[in-house]
Amino acid sequence: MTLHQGWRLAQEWYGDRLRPDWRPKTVEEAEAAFARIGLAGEFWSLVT
Amino acid sequence: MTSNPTAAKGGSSFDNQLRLAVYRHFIEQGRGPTIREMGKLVSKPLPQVKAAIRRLAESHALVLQENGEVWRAAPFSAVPTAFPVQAEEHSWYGNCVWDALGIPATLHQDARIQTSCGCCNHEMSLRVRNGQLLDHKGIIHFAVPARHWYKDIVFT
Repeated sequence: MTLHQGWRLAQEWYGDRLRPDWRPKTVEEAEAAFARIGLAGEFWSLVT
Repeated sequence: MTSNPTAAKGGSSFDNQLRLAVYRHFIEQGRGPTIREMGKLVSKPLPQVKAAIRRLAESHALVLQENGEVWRAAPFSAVPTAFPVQAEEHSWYGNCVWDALGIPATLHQDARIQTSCGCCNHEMSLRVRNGQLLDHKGIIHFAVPARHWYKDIVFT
């Protein structure tokens, strides 16, 4: 990915980490976050 | 991420209290707390703290060293790495470039990441300012497909 995609991914993944109500992303939420950044396909699938 | 129903709900309130205390320690002290320090931070006995640490590790909220101490509270590394992050008066380490970018993303602060390219070792100085990554050439390479990240998160 580009560095700018990496920054967007960092914001998606970590932007809410300090919220008292933070919880880990579900598989669906994580894949949706990847898709918003243009990260799709087999490599980015979290389904085992 | 998780498929753990309890973790997906955010775990117990004590687990979350401990998680936030760990993050506050990282942010304010520039390093991770020891287990003993965690006990003082949340004013609880060590067996209760250790049980919460295990649950947080199971949900990947924390990654532990072999001795049980915290290795990572993402995006913060408890050990020195090749990804130092400087923001205002404090500095930290990220475990990788994603985590290093994750530190200013977590803090919502400007930051500078002084690292080097993994293939050619040329200096890479990344800067985040006003919520934007300033232009810099380069790519981020992931060697491990996403579904396998947590099989060995240290390798990933």
